Amino acid sequence: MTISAGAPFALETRDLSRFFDLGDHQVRALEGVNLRVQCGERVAIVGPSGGGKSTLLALLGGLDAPSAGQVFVGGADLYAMTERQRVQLRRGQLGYIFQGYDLLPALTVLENVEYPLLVAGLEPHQRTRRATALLNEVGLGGKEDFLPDELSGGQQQRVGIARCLVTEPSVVLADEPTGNLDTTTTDAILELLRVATAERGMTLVMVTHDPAIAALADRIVRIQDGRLETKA
Amino acid sequence: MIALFCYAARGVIRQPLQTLLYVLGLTLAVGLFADTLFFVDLSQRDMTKNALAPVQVDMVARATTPDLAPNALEQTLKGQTLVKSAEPVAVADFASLSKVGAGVSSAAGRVFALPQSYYQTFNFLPIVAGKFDPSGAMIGDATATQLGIKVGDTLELKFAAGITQPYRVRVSGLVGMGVSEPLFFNPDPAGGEGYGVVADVVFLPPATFERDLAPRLSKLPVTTSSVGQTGSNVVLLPVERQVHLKLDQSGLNADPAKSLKQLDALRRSLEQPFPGQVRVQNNLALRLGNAKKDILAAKMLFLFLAIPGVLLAAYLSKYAVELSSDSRRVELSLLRVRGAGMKDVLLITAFTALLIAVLGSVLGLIFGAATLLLTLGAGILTTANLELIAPSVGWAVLGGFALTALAFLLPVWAQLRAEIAGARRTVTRVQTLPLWRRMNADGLMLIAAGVVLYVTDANGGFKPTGTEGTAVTLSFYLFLAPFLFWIGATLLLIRLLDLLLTRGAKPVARVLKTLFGEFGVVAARGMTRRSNGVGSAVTLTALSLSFGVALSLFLGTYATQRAGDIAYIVGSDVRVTPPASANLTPAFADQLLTLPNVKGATSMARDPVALIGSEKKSVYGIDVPSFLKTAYLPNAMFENGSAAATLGALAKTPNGVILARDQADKYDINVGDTVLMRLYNPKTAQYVQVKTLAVGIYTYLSTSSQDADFALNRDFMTRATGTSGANLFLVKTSDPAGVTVSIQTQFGANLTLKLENVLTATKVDSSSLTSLNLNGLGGLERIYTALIVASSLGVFLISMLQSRRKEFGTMRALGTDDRQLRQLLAAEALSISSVSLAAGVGIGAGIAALFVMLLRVIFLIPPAGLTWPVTDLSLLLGLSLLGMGLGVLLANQALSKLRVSEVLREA
Repeated sequence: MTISAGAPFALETRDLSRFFDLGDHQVRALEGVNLRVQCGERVAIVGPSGGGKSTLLALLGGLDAPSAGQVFVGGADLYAMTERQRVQLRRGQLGYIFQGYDLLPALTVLENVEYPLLVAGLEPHQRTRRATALLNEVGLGGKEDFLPDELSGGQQQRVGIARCLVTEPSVVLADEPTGNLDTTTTDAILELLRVATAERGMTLVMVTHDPAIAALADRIVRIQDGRLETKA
Repeated sequence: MIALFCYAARGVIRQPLQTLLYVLGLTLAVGLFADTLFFVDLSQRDMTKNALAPVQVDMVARATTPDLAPNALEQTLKGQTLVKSAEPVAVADFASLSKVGAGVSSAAGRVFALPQSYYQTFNFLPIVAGKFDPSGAMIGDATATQLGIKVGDTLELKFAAGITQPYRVRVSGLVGMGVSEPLFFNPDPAGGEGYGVVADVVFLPPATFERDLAPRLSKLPVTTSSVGQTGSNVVLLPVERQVHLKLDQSGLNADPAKSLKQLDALRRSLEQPFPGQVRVQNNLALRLGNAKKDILAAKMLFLFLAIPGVLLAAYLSKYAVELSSDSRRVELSLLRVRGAGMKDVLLITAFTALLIAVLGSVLGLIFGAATLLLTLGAGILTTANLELIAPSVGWAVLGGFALTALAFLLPVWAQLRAEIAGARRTVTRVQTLPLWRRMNADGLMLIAAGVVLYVTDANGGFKPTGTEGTAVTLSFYLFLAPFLFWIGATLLLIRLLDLLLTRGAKPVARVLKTLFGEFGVVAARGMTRRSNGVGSAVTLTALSLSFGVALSLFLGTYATQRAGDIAYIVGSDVRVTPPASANLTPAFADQLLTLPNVKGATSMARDPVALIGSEKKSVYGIDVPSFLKTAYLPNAMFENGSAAATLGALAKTPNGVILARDQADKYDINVGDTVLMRLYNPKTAQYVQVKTLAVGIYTYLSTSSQDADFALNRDFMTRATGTSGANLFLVKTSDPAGVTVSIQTQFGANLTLKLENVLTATKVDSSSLTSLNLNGLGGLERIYTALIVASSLGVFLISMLQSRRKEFGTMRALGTDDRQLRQLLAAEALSISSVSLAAGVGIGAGIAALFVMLLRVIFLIPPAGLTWPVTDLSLLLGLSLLGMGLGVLLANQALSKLRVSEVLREA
């Protein structure tokens, strides 16, 4: 499953809603969201905590199921696909960067970066070559055999970025990628992310509550109480 | 206080999975403990019953002065509590016995005056020919055969000096004396073995005795005699008045100690009305004294066999506590934020522990009852059994509370105290090895086990101690070696696992990659970097399996030994003993062979009074070809390790003799030596000297009463003594019960045959430890092992899923599909299972080998090795694997329900 070259948008949502049943009442995390993201565009989704940013990102990445509406990735209806097709899409076309880095603690830095390629079924030598190159690119050459908890927060997020980029996804979804980092490190990470995605022509959708970080995006989308506040 | 209790109760209810994990181990521990205690009580009752069963005459009241009126004693004793029957007996010795008109007379013997009811009350004196006649006498069948006396002949009895007139009486019947020992049993009051059996016996009706003999015999003087090993002086009355008592044994307590007190009180109450005139011989108490020691040994055996399982089950709870330490830390932080002090936190934990203990104990008791019903059937629900269960329940609940304190309360308190005191923050990152590893406690324990084993063996601790009727002495040290081995092997396993997981990461990864592909490597990395958790899971699972395997092997070997011992005692599957007067020939064996399901039959001649030097010995005449086909002859019974070779040598040497090791030592006889013996010819009442050649030595030979000192070819014996009589027959069959009935039906009408088979034979002359019914324990052990194994893996997998939710969520987000996650889980579970399985079987076999050494003390024939009960072990391992599979399946299910978006948001 690849994103069609002729697809008008890298990502598109149509009347996307997500409700959660909490016993006797229902929480409307997202309601009627319509969003279009062009190929190669950098979009920042901002808004207060609990506004629905992460829910939207999870739905865009195929990690959740909408209560209503549709999500199109490269023109393909994400939730009309089988689970197997969605997994294939996640492996090849979507990349994730998490706020808490979420590296696999038992694997070394190199193995963590190799992991998406391993699940995709690449041969070991191909995996190692690509992962090593990316680690060098993010400035972690020589740290291949370190375990995640032997690295600083910034270094861990660099590994997270390398892991995301290693499959060369069309769309990178980043959930508060600098949320746990200090200002200096944040700048470095954002620059790395900007350059890496721009060089590769990747679409970047980034969730943040920091307006300064959002300013680096081509477009800012504000979300509050589950609804988009600006025209998407 | 109430608020804190309510908070604890809400915590227990709010976190059902965590509560379940805490309670699971405790439930299994309480259930197994309660069941084990119930088994101990059940066995105690059965052993007491078994120990008392062979006692024919429960008590004998003896008049010690001649002035006691004959009937006074009987009448007084009849009315006493627990006394079911009281039979008066008068005893006097005669100098010789002969048949009127014949020249042969017997040696000195004894006359008993027994009422007709005696023969019904006690069934050890069967009337094998003729009948009880108030005007006649009966004599022992062996005496009748020896002196050629038949029913209708007249006897002449001569008495000691002072009574010149012989006494003549007509013979009205013959009494089988094969099992008449209870009549003569009279232990030395000072503790010696007492008098032996008298060969020539005459039975008179009491009225005849009182009329014709008592007045004359009473005039003889009272003498004293030195008896028994202690040489104590006993007053010998010319006419001894006795009352033989049969008690209502169902009125005795199941606990031998309490029962002994009951019997002692009864003895005193029986003697009390006759101060200085009556001594009561307490035969039941003598048996119970031995049973008491055996029961203590059985209790130790049961507890040592089952307690590891109880501890392992309890450790499951501790394991769950360890695995949930992170969530507890979070909860503690919340409590501290809300202003809870150290005392409040500790109290909440104590209340939680109390609730867990109550819940675990109640569930454990329900589960224990269910497993008992499942393994033993609804038949155990008798009033007597329910009475037995009550104390077990109490102890099990107490044990449940103690185990909760050890497995839950203390570890949690320790963690909380450390957290509150801030110890965690000051702890250095340098990991130190645990104390036991620094001290090499594993090696030391194993060495200590070896030393204990060696010292116990060198001091004769493994030699059989159970001579006839005595208790087995099971030294505490016999249990100490397996205990030390178990601890040592456990610690060694932990050390080896740690080494394997930390230093053997690459080989482990290679192996798992071969088995599971690339995800095997991920699993290997995961396991090697979580060596503590994996090590605990493997250790717990392996030890649980070792518990089950050890118990299974021990029970299998015990069953083999028990069957072997019984087969040795019977001689084969069925033993047929005709009365001495039957004069059966070896041809009777051919008749037995014609019965359905009989695979072999052999006859044996027995000379119990053959002379070697000046000593009387039991010499058997066997027909080697049919004996080889029929008798129970394990090679271990023969010194050259081959039954066929030893008996083949006997068959090839017409005048050959094979002999018991103790006789070979006693007379310094080696294979190839000439052995002179004198065989008794009952027809001529003369001894015949024969020259035999020793061709083999045995430790045991399956014959009749475990008394085969020497064995000759039957034809040689027949030629030498001129008699072709056969004294007993052995039958080999796959249906001992059916063949016993067939023999009785076919031949019982004309012959009073004594029939014994491997199903009914009780080992009256040995320890009751050999007749323990361990099948129920075996059934329970299988269920509990499977559950503990499944639970330990289940707890590990569930806890692993809980603690690695985010990791699995990340994997899913990165494109890992269900199949790959299943592969990962299977690789981890299979690695843990297979290492646990191998270690469990290894440690289990080691412990079993040590426990089986106990059987060398208990059983006559030492075990040649472990019996591997294939069905039992397959069932055990199958159940365990099923449990593991179920654990993996549940974990898979939990994994497939993982909500990635929610998990990734967790802090």
